[in-house]
Amino acid sequence: MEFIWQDMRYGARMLLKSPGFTVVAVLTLALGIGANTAIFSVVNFVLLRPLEYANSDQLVMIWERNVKKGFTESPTSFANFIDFRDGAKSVDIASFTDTNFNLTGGEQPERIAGLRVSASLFSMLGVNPMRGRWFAPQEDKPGAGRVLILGYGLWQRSFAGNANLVNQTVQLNGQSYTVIGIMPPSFKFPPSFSATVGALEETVSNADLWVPLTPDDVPLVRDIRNLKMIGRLKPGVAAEQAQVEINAIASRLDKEYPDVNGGIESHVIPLHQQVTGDIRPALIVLMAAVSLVLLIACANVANLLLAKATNRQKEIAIRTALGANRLRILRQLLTESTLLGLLGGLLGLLFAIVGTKSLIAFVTVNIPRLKDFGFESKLLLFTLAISLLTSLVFGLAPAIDASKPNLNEALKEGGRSSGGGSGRNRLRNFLVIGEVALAVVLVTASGLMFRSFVRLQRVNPGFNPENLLTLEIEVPEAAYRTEQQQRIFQQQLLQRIRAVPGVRYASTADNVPFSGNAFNSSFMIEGRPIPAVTERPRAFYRVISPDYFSTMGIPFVRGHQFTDRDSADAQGVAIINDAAARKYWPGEDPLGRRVKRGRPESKNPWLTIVGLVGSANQASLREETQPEIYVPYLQNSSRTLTLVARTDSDPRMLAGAIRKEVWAADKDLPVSSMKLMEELISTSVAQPRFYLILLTVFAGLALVLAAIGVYGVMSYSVTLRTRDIGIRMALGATPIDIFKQVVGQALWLALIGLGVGIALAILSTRVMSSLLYEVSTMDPMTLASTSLALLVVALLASYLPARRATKVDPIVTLRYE
Amino acid sequence: MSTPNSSLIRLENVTKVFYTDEVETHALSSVGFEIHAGEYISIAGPSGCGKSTLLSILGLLDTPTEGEYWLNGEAVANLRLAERARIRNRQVGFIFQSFNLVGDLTVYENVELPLTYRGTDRAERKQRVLESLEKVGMAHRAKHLPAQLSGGQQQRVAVARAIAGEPSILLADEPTGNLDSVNGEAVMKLLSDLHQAGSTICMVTHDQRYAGKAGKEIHLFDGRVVEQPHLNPPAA
Ligand SMILES: Nc1ncnc2c1ncn2[C@@H]1O[C@H](COP(=O)(O)OP(=O)(O)OP(=O)(O)O)[C@@H](O)[C@H]1O
Ligand SMILES: [Mg+2]
Repeated sequence: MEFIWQDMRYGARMLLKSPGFTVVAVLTLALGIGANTAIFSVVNFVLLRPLEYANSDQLVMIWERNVKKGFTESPTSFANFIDFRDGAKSVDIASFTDTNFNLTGGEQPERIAGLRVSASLFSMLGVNPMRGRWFAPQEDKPGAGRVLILGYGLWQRSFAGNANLVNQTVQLNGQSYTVIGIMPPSFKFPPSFSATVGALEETVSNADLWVPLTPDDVPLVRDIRNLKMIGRLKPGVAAEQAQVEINAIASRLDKEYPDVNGGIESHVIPLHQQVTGDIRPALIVLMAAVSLVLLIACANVANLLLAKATNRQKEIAIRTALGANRLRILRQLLTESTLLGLLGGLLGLLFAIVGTKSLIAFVTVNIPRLKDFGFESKLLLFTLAISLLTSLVFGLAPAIDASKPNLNEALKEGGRSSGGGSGRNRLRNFLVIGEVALAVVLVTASGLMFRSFVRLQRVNPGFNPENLLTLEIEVPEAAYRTEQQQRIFQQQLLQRIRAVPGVRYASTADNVPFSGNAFNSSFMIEGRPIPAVTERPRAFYRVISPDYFSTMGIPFVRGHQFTDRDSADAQGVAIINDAAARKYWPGEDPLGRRVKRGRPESKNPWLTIVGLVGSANQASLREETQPEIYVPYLQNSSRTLTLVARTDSDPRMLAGAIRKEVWAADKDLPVSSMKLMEELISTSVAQPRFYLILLTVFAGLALVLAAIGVYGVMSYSVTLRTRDIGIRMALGATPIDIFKQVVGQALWLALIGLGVGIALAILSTRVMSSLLYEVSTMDPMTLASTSLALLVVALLASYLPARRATKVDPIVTLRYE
Repeated sequence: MSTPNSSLIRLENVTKVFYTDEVETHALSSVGFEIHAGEYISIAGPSGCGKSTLLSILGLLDTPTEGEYWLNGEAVANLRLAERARIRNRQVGFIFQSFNLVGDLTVYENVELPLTYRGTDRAERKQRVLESLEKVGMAHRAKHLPAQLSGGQQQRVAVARAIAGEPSILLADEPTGNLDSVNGEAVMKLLSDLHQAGSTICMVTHDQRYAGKAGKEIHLFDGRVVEQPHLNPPAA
């Protein structure tokens, strides 16, 4: 024990004695450890932390799966849900569906993200309300009184935290609801996650209030699939067992109701996995990236220690002569590196805290659970562990090397010919090659991400997103009872908006691309045999006003556009996009053909296709364009509207004027926040951008560290070879010869590192292929530019040592013989 | 300003002053002499009298503070660094007291070095390296590293390296200083043989026995050329 204390004191003195070395080593380690701590804190928070529900590992999401229709995570219908719930013995099942509510009576009408849930849901989640109570079991039965539970955020925001709100009534969609409970601030349901519903990625996000799901509000039928199921496994039951049981129920439903349930199976997935699913590969890639950065940092510090060992040979020889055995010396050296590691860890922790906070604040990105990010005390342990491990990694090899009693070699090297070729040099070269190789892997990874991101950015979404403003509006049922009233309101609204100076076009649609609200449904084509349920054609439906295509900048191919003459009593019309034409009318002219939305027996009217437009992306730039059918708003009413306006200049300037016109049309109209189309698209690529930024930061860090490594080794090598250089100069080497020699050596090391690195990169970047868009992990452009970058860095890093080498004075170096 | 064709080296009034810490050291003062092709010159004098400094200037490692230096008829006293390196490479062969082989190059590569800087092609390099190693009797050690050789062998390799480029003049600074007498004799014999075969040699030596072997002796004392050797070092 006393020995350790002595070693520590001596080690501290050694570090203080060479402050330059200590500062560089501690900073290098702090960068490496800091990056690891930062990413680990995110990984821990997002991936490893349990969800904030009681025994959350028992919670699962239960989906319908229909391989034939290509649905892996489909919601279920009310009737199917009841069969699943009553049939399952291994798992309790509740269901929920999202609905937007208009909350009136406050200062401003508000649109609220709400959720209809089974009454049993809250007890299933096991989170107690802060005030009031959970739903009672009978409250989701038909005819039950209207009750609701409020989220903490909404309670604070819209009711100023009114302590007496429980048992009072509030107006939702023009109806009275009694508030029965208020949830604590930490409660979030549903947790935000995304699911692959059909071809689209659907994002589920937190609701602000919850009401019971009753057959009064959601029709108890089998063919409308809008309920998501959540389950709690009975104690001791695994998700796989529940899956078997649910599958059995699904196949029964398949047989009993083949027309609506044909081909269904089920998919049971732990809730935690559902929430973190998408993010897992990305976080693993980031974790791997920072590990590489730390390894490079270790190699750098090991290199510094090796260089220092040469200067300490004498001290170590004296200690040996005084009777210290090798183990004792090894311990002394390892104590010193541990001190370095701990100092680096301390500073790294600081870096991590500052870095993570500012990063999360700076990048507004939709990473599940990250919104509420906070540091946990667990992190201290992680930092401590990684600091100690790091100390061992960078300290061991130099310590073993330095403690080696190599008096013989030392004598020989100082002797007749000039020094070089020792094992220590080989180790140093090896470390630098390793550093370069790891840096190559990181730079390649970030290069691939960059290429992929650029490709994604260049994707033409099928419309012109510039100067496009969107605004979601819910037309309240209470105020506009008839479809006629709605249409008149809509026409008046559009007139007002068009009159705003600076607005070029304005139109409405029930939803717009990239808003996350698109949905698709099946349709029939007149004159064709009725296909099996699973084979029916599907398309996205969009209810639009005239001018929609001009507003969006969607090219009109042929036929004619909707006009105000396409009214409710006129013949039904539709416009399709060319993805639909290609898919369902290959080699035919779709104009003049008729389609009908829904099932074959549906009473929906037949619609004549009158026009053909270009295809637009629905939710992401990555997806292929999907078939779309547009119908005129005069023939199809929709209470949910998105107002789109194309402006002459920056639409933000007109936001106020437009909002004013909306409220002039109806002062009670709840208006959600305005969004630029460019923002919506930008949000859809926020994740790749976030990874790109992080990977680029780490790759940059790796490059800087590798450059420091190359610089260190070359600089040391020049010092070591001063005499050789003098000899070469005496033999007629010009300064340029000498310069080339040093740079050449650096390039040679870099080239070997590059070779190893490219091989490693090709092997390892495969894990990130799911994060890439139309870029192969073997992308030659990326590999070529990575190689170039590395060689340039090696060149720059060796420039100063090479310059110094050319300044060697042969007379001075050769005189003292 | 012309020089007689027969003089390979001609120094006029060469002075070298070192300025260190505000102390001026006059290492050479008004030195002038000629060396003709094929001569074997020895430079002698007490320690610190300026022998090595003179050799550095002759070998274009250093420039005189004042004075003129013609090498092969070309005024070389004030050339640029790269130009001096080029001439050094082609015209001068160095042999040092402490051999000064490059430790991580093999015997062969050491001898090849001056030829590499000259841009000689590979085949010719090989031929010349082997020839020079043959001359010093070290051809069988071509693949060895310097550390694997004895001192005498290392100095023979150094000689081979000096002559590989067929320089106009060989400059040797106490080539036997680090060798025992047997090896010293052998290296001196080698230089004599080279002189016999036509090489011009300029050698610094303390050893009167070896100085005598040269055709001509230059005595330095306190930075000046003197007629007779001073047998006693100057009083401090
Ligand atoms: N770079 C220098 N800076 C300052 N003084 C120098 C330098 N080089 C040589 N001198 C001085 O010039 C004088 C001549 O030195 P030089 O090395 O030529 O002597 P030398 O005759 O070769 O001696 P030795 O026989 O000991 O090798 C000495 O007084 C030496 O201290
Ligand atoms: Mg000398």
